[in-house]
Amino acid sequence: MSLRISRRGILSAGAALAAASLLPRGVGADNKPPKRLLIVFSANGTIYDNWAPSGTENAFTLSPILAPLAPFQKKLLIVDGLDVKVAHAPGPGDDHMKGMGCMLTNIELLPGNTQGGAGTPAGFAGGISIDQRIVKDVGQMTRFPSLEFGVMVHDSDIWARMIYSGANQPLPPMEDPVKVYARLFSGMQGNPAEITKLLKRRKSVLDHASVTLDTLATRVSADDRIRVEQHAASVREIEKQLIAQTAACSAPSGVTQIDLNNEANYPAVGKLQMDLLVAALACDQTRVASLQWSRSVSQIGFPSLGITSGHHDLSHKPDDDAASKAALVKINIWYAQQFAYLLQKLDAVPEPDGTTLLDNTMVIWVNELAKGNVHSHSPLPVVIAGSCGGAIRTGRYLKVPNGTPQANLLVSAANAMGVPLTSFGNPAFCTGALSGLA
Amino acid sequence: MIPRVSHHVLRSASALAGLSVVAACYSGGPLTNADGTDNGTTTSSLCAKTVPGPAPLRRLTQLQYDNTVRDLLGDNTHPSQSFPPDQKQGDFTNTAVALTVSPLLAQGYESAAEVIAARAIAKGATFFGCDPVKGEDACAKTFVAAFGKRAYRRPLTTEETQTLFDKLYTPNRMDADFNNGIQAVVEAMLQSASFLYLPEIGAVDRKKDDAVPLTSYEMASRLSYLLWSSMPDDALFAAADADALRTPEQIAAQARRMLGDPKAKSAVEDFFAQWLHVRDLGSVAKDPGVYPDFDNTMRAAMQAETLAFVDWVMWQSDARVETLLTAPVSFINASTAKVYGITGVTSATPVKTDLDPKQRAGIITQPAILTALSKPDRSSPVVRGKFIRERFLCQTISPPPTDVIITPPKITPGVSTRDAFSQHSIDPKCSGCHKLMDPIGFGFESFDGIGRFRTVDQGKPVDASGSLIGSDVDGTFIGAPELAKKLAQSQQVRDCVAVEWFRYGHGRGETPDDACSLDTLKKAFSAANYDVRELIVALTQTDAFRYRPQVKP
Repeated sequence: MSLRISRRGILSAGAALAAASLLPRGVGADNKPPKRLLIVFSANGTIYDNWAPSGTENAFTLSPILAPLAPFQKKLLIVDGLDVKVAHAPGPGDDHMKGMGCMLTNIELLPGNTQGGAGTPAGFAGGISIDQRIVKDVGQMTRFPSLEFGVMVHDSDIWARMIYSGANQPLPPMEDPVKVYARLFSGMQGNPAEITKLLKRRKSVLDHASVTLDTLATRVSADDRIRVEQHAASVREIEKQLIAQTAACSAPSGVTQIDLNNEANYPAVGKLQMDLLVAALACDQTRVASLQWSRSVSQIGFPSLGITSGHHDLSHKPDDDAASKAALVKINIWYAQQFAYLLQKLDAVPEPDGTTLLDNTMVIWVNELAKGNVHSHSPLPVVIAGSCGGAIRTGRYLKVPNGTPQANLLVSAANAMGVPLTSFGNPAFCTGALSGLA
Repeated sequence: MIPRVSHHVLRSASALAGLSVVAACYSGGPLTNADGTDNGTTTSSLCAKTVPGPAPLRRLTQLQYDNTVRDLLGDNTHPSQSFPPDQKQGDFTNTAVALTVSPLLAQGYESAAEVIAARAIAKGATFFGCDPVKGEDACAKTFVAAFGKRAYRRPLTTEETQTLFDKLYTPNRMDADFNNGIQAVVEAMLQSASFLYLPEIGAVDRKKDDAVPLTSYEMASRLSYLLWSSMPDDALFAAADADALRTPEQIAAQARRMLGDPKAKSAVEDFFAQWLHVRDLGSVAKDPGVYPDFDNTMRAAMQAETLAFVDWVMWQSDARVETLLTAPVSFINASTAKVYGITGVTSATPVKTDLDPKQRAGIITQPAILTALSKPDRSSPVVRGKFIRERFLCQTISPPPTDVIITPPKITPGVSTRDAFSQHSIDPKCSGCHKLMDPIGFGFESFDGIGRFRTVDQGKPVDASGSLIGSDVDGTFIGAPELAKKLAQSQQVRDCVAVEWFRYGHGRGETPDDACSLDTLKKAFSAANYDVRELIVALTQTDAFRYRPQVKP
């Protein structure tokens, strides 16, 4: 049994404790619950005619794929017609890479030496992703500026990374629920005196690490310096986590070792990760998070649904292949069921003002492609859930004009989170906030 | 900005002469013509000036981290398993520009350092190298200097020693807790820039644009991380202390000595596991309905087989490319015996086994590679053909045209995999480029999606005839063993092996500035009759290895 660090322990550590970390859970500066952003990803596009709702903006019927979200229909904003414009630009990378690396950054991939299935060789994304941009403004309020969760992502290449703290700075997701549990909830071992000693040692060690990195940064080339400075920034971030240990958190149960290479465990790993994610948001360990199911070009199989081919292979079958289309619909329904589970968990966490965690969150479900077999980037299947503390008017099916830049949604997400952006990423592919969200 | 690395820079237009029909489909090709002559450029003109190519700052990879803490602290726990995976760009996960440090990784470094340091300190005076009872502060100073030199792979500066003593040891040894003071020192070193990176900033830059020779300590690390994926040993430190890692002869002598050490297995295995997709097999899934035998045990056994074969070729046999490609032996255990259809092998350890040379020969017929290069439910001639093109001929296949809807064929009883791909040769949009891949991959059709030999596919007799174009060994062949024989005689393949080692060895792609280094490398490989051990020695003799460019802030 581990002893969670006491508030007295934190104070006696003597460090410059950020005042924000002492706020009780769920109270923002204006006495309203804090706003949260949660990005959810699933891969390989959708089947549009089974995805798009029917009806009007305010009176719509959910499609077969989105039917599992029916219990939350009043808390949804389904956005139909967005276009990842930057992916049409002649930059490096294939369509999957561009979708993955550009949908949250709105900037071209860097040139590099990874050859995809099309285009010129690419590197990682050329800029920060919207969640990390939001973190710059709100990330200091919590123990973790953001938390990235993945479910059987496995790879570490351009197709497997969507969150970026800057150009060529992908943030890897946490993939092992046991390690997530240890990082978020296991607390510190020992009596207050021992914890004080440990915190003091950690601080001196991390200070030293920062100094050595800062010194190295002044002596290397401009290209290298960017990486060394990023490393130093990472060290400073974990240094803050030392002193901003959250006081009271209830950890989910049932987190046990699970084989992360056995695809049959995909649903079970996903559920554990969602439980951990919601618990982390619920006790305000972070206000910005993401959940990445597999990766772009996901080849996950779904034997439990009677689907034995890999997802990506299926996504390339022609439109008139009815069996493959039915399988793809099933896969996307399955992801909608997982999304519904996530919403249900979020909606079950009450806030002090009578709202729920979901009400104060903007959950955005994105995909790196619109349609798999043609690698299109429009109309991107986007589902938003939660009103982000009233910033978003939900219960609607919003059809935007074809060709509306998807980057406009990123600007709107920042605005909903209280970050006053007017453009994001490459301004050539963004025309400002998406109208009609509020 | 990230330095641009292009696969196109070494393309030789003359090598593509006569291939106009497919020239638009690929790039890359032999720098040297099949007859051994250079493409109009002599070595002397390529090497008129010392040009090192870029030298991006390198961070320890996960493998290098684990091996380093093993050699530094006797810690065999592979602590990097808890880190997020090294970012992959290009063919390898050691590409310097991709190895950034996220907060998650920084936290991994912190946690690992804490447990590694605690384990070491528990050993007491043996670890400290002195007895603190006889004077704690004196012992701490001795420890900082001695351990620090091994951790930073160079002597510490006075300022560094002072900082570690004053800011780590002293404040943390308060309350008479000597061990806590040393713990702070060890944790700090393991998270410092000098431990986690291989900085090459010791030599004073000379005039602008000059190639800068490495210091002997920097060279010791270049050698140890190339050959061992680990830190220098005592002999390398002694050579660096004597500043005796300057001349090509001194460096070559060390490289040969190091190749004789069992530690050389690690880097070599890592290269082959990544180059040949063996490592990727770790996350490859198969349809259990089609391949019920394929599980984690079989996956691990396949990987172990190929690595055992590589070890045998490199350290027991002659280390030649030809042996790698054609030796009709492999290393089979109880699990892979099922793939080979062999009875009577019950050992969990792979056992050297002779194979029917008509069915299998060398590395490209091994189940690990054949399985990684298949679909979940069938073989893939396209993926296998593309693999040979890219990893053995160093050519990049152009992507499909944007107006093509890619539709992988379905499995249909009565239609062989080969026949299912016939659309590629019929549709002119596909055939131009697929003729570079599919006819090679068809030669592998004797192997199913987990590398089992077969003579029948979907009820039809297997046709494993294939053909190769756009290379220096063009022609038809029947089955993968015949293809392997062709590849083994190809100058283009030998040059490609040298280029892949160059990429791995330097953690970057090649650039125009590497023309002399690559030429030197290929010639030395040829002179050594394509012995890969000698290729590794030759890597240490190039401008790219012995020099770095001026730091341009």
